[in-house]
Amino acid sequence: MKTAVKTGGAAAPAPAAKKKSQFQEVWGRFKKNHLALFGMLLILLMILMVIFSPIIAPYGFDEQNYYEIFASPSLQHLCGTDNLGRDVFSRLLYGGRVSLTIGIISVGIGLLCGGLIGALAGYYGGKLDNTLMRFIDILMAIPSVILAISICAALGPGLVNTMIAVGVASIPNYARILRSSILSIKQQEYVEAARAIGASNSRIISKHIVPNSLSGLIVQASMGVGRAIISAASMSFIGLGIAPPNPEWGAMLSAGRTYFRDYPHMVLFPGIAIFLAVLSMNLIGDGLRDALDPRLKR
Amino acid sequence: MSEKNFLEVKDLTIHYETDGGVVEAVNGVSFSLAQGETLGLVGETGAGKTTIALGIMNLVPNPPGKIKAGEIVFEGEDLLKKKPKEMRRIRGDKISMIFQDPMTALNPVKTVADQISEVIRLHQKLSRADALRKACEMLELVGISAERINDYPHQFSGGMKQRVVIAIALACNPSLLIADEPTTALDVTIQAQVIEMMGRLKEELKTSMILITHDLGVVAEMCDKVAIMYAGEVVEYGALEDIYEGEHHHPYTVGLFGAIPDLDKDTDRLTPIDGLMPDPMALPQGCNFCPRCPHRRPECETLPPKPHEVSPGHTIRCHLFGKEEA
Repeated sequence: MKTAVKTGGAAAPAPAAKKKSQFQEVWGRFKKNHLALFGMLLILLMILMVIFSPIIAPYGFDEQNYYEIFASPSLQHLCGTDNLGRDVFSRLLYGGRVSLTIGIISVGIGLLCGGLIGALAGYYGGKLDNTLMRFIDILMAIPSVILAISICAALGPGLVNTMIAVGVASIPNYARILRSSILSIKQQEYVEAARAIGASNSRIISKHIVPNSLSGLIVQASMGVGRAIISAASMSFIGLGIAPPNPEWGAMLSAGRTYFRDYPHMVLFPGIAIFLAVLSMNLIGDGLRDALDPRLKR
Repeated sequence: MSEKNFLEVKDLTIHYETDGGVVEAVNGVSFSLAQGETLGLVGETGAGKTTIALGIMNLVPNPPGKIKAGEIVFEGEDLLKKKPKEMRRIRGDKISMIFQDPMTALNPVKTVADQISEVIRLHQKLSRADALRKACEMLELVGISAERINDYPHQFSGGMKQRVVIAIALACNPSLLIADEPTTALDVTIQAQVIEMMGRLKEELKTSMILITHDLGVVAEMCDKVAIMYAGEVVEYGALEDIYEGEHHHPYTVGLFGAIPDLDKDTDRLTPIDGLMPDPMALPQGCNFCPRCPHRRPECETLPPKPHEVSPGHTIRCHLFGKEEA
């Protein structure tokens, strides 16, 4: 072992050159996971379809055709039509804009705020922890749908307000998860070691503790996308979310419920859309968690 | 600043105030260290060695820990009076620490390159590339090929991880290195290598060191001064020769040396010191060692002994010695 000390600075620049960026490394590991890659392709495809919905969609989302109400899926109407004769496929495309945005942004809001609260509470402990977590307890004491409804009612209906409402309602989950993992990680010796080399608190939290506690958060977030889409749906169901006739997957789902027995396609296709979105987010989440953990590196 | 006063710890008292009571972890410890010297801090588990180390770094977990009294004068300035920001600048740069367990002292999700260059970039204005080059040099210095700089901690063996920890500790050329049982978690063959390497680096970089250990053999090899600790107090303090070859000793030191197995003697059992360390929440009224001491006297139970200088630089905290002189 001791003989390894040979070349002082001569060998040093070589590894510097081959060092890959963090992103490249994670991506390298991520793309080996075929399922995760599939999930990523799926969500990308959905996002593209949604973005180009005016081009792709055969009909307008509010185009009613009373001659063809409750039409079964056919070549004219890929996913059939609904009770007002609107093309379900077109509505799915337009609705995806709203649903995917709500799903991703509201999870982002919850993740950021919840993560920040959880990180501060877990790291500093004591009075700050108590104050923040009691605040979180208040949020938790109110059922999340009711909380979202009341926020939405206070802010008024609309896309942005729905995202805020759904995001805020999910803060407690993320805060609790991050706090608990930080509580265990801050006891680790490498945190003390970081303190011993003179790192500041914010640096220790962001560079040492949070990267070590990401895995639980990633899984929770990828599941959260689906949950956010559904709760946004319940918002619009009671008239607080997206106002009809604007389509939205959750709203389509609940609108189709009445006709479920006779015309299942009205429920089936929005359901499949939500399912695919959630599935792909979960696959990505799993892949990301593994890719971010260097111990699983091959 | 005189050579003598490079590091001076005076009457350091650290208590942990828990709900269950006050743990008197360190009680009035004093010692000093000159440039380039190594002090061995020896004692059983729970004697307060690590707390002293954390005290010097000003990292005693608070709450519950609290530095109740004392001064830590480092390069002429009292570290206990420093602001957190000033202290952060000293940690890792002028004073750094090697932790006991290399398995947990490295962040598992960051490469060794990131972790070594982190300390360099925190304290020196270097570009990312320069810091990385310096990190490679440090890695070579501790005997690991620089090619492994982009590996993660789990890809190293225990001994190599400890080398990495040492590389981090030495990266900014600290003038004081605190090594908290650096070899305890390693197996014996690696221990010897690491000790040898630390000794060599210390010579090369002219670093002073506080070595915390249970291992009297390591102390004999590395240290210039030794402080024997018992229940939060330094019971005997002196130069290496005083402790290992001197005539007079604290009964606890005698017991410690007596517990070392002797290769030349054919014995079935080792000779332990009877009894247990006192509960630090309820220390005895008199001498802390009194309940286990074979030379116990009546005054030991009521009167705490004062440090007594048996020869220049060699102090013993025991009633046996104060009396003889007086």
